[in-house]
Parts: sequence; C-alpha cells; structure tokens
Amino acid sequence: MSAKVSAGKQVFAIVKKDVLAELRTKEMVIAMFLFVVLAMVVFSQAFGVILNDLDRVGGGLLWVAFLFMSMLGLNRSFVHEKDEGCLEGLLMSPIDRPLIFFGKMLGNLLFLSIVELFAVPIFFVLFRLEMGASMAGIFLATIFLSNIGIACVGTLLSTISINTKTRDLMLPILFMPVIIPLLIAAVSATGGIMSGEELTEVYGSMRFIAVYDIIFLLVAYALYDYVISE
Amino acid sequence: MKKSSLILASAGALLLMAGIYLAFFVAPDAVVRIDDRELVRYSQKIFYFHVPVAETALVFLLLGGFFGAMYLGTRKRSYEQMSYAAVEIGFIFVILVMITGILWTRADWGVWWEWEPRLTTFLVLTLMYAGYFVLRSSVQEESAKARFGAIFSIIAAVNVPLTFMAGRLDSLKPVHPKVFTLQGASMEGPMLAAFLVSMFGMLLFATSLYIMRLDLLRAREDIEYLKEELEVG
Amino acid sequence: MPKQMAELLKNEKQPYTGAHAEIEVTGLSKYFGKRKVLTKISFELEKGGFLSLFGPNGAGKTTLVKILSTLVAPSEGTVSVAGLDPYKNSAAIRSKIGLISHSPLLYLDLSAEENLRFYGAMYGVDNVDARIDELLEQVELDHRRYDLVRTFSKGMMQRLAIARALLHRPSVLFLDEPHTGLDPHAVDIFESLLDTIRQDHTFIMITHNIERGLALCSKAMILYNGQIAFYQNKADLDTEMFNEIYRRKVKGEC
Repeated sequence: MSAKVSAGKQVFAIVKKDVLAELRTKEMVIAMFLFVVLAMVVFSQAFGVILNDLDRVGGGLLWVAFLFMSMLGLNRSFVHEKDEGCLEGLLMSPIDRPLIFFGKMLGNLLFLSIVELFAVPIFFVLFRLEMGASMAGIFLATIFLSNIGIACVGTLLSTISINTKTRDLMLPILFMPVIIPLLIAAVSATGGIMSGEELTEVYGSMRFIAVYDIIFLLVAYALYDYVISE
Repeated sequence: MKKSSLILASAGALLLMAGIYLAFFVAPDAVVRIDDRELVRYSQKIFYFHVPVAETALVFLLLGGFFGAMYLGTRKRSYEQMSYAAVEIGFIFVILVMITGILWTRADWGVWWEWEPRLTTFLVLTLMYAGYFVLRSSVQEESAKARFGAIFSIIAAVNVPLTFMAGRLDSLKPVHPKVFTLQGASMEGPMLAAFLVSMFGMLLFATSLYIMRLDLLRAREDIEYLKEELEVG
Repeated sequence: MPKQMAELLKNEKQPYTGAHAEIEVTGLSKYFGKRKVLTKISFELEKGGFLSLFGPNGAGKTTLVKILSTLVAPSEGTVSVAGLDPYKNSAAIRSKIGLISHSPLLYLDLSAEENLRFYGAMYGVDNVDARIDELLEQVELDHRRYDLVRTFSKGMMQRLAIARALLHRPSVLFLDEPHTGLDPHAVDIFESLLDTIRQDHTFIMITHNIERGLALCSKAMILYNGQIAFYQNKADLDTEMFNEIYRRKVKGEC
C-alpha cells in the first residue's frame, strides 16, 4: 500500500461518488430544478404588477429562487453521509479533513451550477427578458462566482447543521444571515447587468463576491477539521 | 459581585452620566433649516448613546470570535466560556442598537423602520447571532455545543465586516446617517468629547457586565459538576 | 507494567501482557472542563488479541475507541496503536485500523463494488480491482457486486461492511456493537467470517451481548463511569465476578 494517498485522487473520489449516487437517484437535482421553476411561477403570481419593471427586480427574483433552491441541495448533501454512518467511515480513512470539505463543496457547486444552467434560460423566457451574448457571459460568470460562495458557506454550515437536533431546520437559520453580503452583491451585479448599468459598478460587485469567496474558502479550510472531528 | 466588576460598573455608570450631561448641555445641537427657520433636532442626541452602543457591540462580537478561535486551538474550557459570554454581551448590545436606531429613525424620519444600510446591517447581525444561540441550544452534547458555538462565532465574526462592506454597495441606496447637519460640521471639540466619554463609559460598563456573566458561567459549571459528582456518589 | 495500571487493577488475576503489545494505553484520561469522560485508563492488548468492552451507555466505551482510532484527542496519558501515537501520526494509523460498526458505513445508492472502489481511493489501496474481487468472494457477495447496497438485506450489508473494513488490510479492527440488528443466521455468518480473519488481526469490540462478547474475546473489560471496573484475561476469567459487576454496574441493580 502506498504510504501517502494522493489528495487529488481522494477529492475526485468524493465528487465522483456523489455524482454517481445522484445520477442513480436524480432526486436532488430534479427536486432543485422543479423548486426553482415553481418559485418563478409563484413570484410571477405574487408580484404580478411589479414585474413590468423586471429589469430592476429580476436579479432579486432570480437570487431568491437560487438561494432557497441551494438550501434544499445543501441539506441533502450530508444526509447520505450521516445516515449510514458513512461520515465516520470517511473520517477513519487517511484523508486530510479539508479535502473532505473540498470534495463535498465541489459536488455541491456542480449540482448547483447544473440546475442553474437549465433554470436561467427558463427564467429569461418566462419573464420575456433579452440579453446580448457578451452580457450573457458576464451574467453567467457572476452566477458562477456566487455559486462558489454559496457552495462554500453552505457546505461548511450544513456539516454543522446535520449534527444538531433540528438538522435541516437549522441550516437556513445559520446560512441566510451569513450569505446576505454575497446576496446583496450578487443582486446588485445581475441587476446592474440586466438594467444596462455601467459595467464598472457591476465589476465592483463581482470583485466583492470574489473577495467573499476567497475569505470563506480560507475560513472553511482553517475550520473544517474542527467542524468535522471532535 | 466581585470588586473589579463593581469598580468597572460604577466607573462606567459615572462616565455614561457625564456623557449624557455633555451631550445635552455642552455638545452643539443639531440644526436643520426649513424655509429660513432653524429647527433644533434634539433626537440627534441619541447619537451619543447609539453609536457607543454599536461600537461596543462590535467589539464584543469580534472578541467572541477571537476567543472562539482560542478555544478551538487550545481546547481550554475557559476560552469557550469567554467566547460565549462575549457573544451574549455583544448580542444584548446589538439589540440595544436596534432599539435606539429604531427610536432615532422614528424621531428623525417619522418612520419606525427604514431599509437603510447600517440599520439593515445590524438587523442581519441580530438574526445571525440569534442563530448562534439557536444552534447552541440545538446541540445536546456539551463538547459539541462548545465546538459548534466556537466555530459559528468565528464565522459570524468574519461575516460582520463583510456585511458592513456589502451595505455600502450601490444596491441599497444610502438614505443617510451622515446627514445630521451640525453647526460644527465634522466631529470635533465638545461633540467629540461627549462622544468619547460616552464611548469609554459604555465600554467599561459592558466589560463589567462581561466579567459578571463570566463569573456566573463558571459558577454554573462548578455547580453542574458538583451535582454530577453527588449523583454518581 | 506501568504503575498506574497496577494501582487500578485491584483484581488479583491481572492479565498477561506480551512483550509486543499492539495496543498500549497508559494513564489515559479525557475530560471536558471538569467533567471526566475517561479517567486513568491503562491496558495492553497483544497482537492477535481480542478485547471485549462492556459497559452502560455513557461509560466512555465509544470515546475510548474514538481516541484509539484518531478521531478524538486524549486529554492526558499516552496511547500507542501498532507502535504509533494516534494523535501525532493520525494518517499513518488510520491506514492500519478498520471499523465495523452497527451502521454499515456504506452508501446506499452506490453498488457494492462502487462502495469498495470509493474507500479504495480513500485509502490508496494498490491493485484495488484484484483486492475487491478477492474480498467479495470471501464475503460471498460477488454475485451481487453490481447491485445497489439499498437492495441488500441487513446481513448482506454487514458482510459488505466487513469487506469494506478489511479493504486496506488493517492490522487492528474496531467492532462497535456489530451484533446489533443482525438475525441469528447473520450472526453465524458474521462470526465465521471473524474466525477466518481472527489470527491476523487485533480486535477491540464494544458490545452489550455478554454471551458473544465473552465467547469471542481473549480479554474482557467493563467500563463504568469512565473507569475500568473489571479487566481480566479470558483464560482465568472469574465468571461470577464478571456477572456480579456486570449486573451491578451495567444493569444498575444493587
């Protein structure tokens, strides 16, 4: 047996295992996708009048839908690990704790991004929005950049919430206040793109999202060992 | 009550009273001009209370995160208690910020609530730290409670400056608080003096509360331990 | 023999300890604040030994095993597993220990083979395909290797869990209430499997099953309130004393 197991292989194995299980059941991605579309329908019915002004509120609608959808997935993400004691099995294997985090986070990031890739076109069609190709690039980049933060903070906090009595009730309470700075910046960036604002302001928000991502990646890297082992 | 906390509490109380005196009788009044008439906005006096409360809250919340990190690093129970007590005191002061902020908003702008960046920021902080207490009460095992509490106190402390920064992004258009028009424009002279006295008094007062709370936590831990010892026999 | 151990063991029949102990625990304590979870635990287990660990819930059995398997850091005392300190060489030790628990530690939505392959990657097992073939044959599950674990019976899951635990050829195995939830037939299969791997491994088993626990072990220990209440070699086990202490401490009868 090799003395030192490759970190890349371990992270990849975790992601692969989550993707395999998801491909088999598809329960998470489909539920998340349906949730996003349903949220859009609910918004259109609940805020019918404002929607005439969609350039300004559209970004907000999109992010509220994405945020709640991401919590669905994040909650599921550790249920598999906890239910049959797999997390203990994982902890007993010679893997560095932060690698477990990166594996789980990359999986969450992947699922989140895939669902959004399908949801964004539907959003544009449903709300009759249009966007040029170059703008669409920046738009998607903003979403992906925000996804990193969502997946990072979400993975970190769902590892905590899964260990509480209330489990999935706990995640939103912890997750939402921590994610609000990112939400503000993401809404500002996507809203800015949709209403054709100066790009410098959009870039300012994107830079903030990037800073947020980096800070919480570092926090997660430093703290995950404590989160996951006693 | 221990002597140290008694001295701190009395010094803090004296300074706070001095601060109130300075605020009302020495510091300049805030004046707004409406149609050539000058109106004194006495509601601005709450500034000398509101801002020190806010800064004290932030100091203790950040301290909570710092001691949380110390606990994770050393696994000494005392750091965990220090972190928990700091977050508790910080939380009380955050709620005070909300109350004084709402009063000021009501008096100055005539509404109970305004989605103004800094007020919003403190609302988010209130909710975030409420989550801290919910989290702790939702974990049964003592060591896990301490561990998760410490971890979340760090995450939350990191998020405090981020929340402030996000509040300054363009989407939430700042309605104001730099706007109280003062005869002496920026903060200097008597106004600064009144502010600093209040600020210092508030910090001393909060520190005395902190020490008392910490003593209480330690005593409670001792009693719990003794109770268990008795049960086991 | 360490001094603390001699003090702790008031029984006259102290267990024999070999020169090359696979697991060595000296003066181990774990506390949280003032609360003690484990107090001055000392024992040794020779290579190939089998320690059965009894005790009521909350006696510290799980914490002891978690310390030995690098998941929890001790507050005091020294621990050595396969000649290594779990806290300092955690990665090295983890590749030498395996866990068979009452939960299978398997992903239900993956097939038997995928589960083993995943853990193989975690442990960096060489020649993982050949190893998986060999193990699946050993636990008689090769006909189900592509089926989802979700479709397995409890007994089959437990067999796969054993294969999972043996995958990286550990030298020490921890068994955490492995009999829980198994029907008698599954227990038979489980124990015949244990028999085949018995001589190459060192075991520590947490159990509430006195009969099975005493039958399998080479040493028996009762933990109560974080302390060793009983510790003897099976060869000269005082069954009456064991039963007496077990009845008093574990069942709480007077």
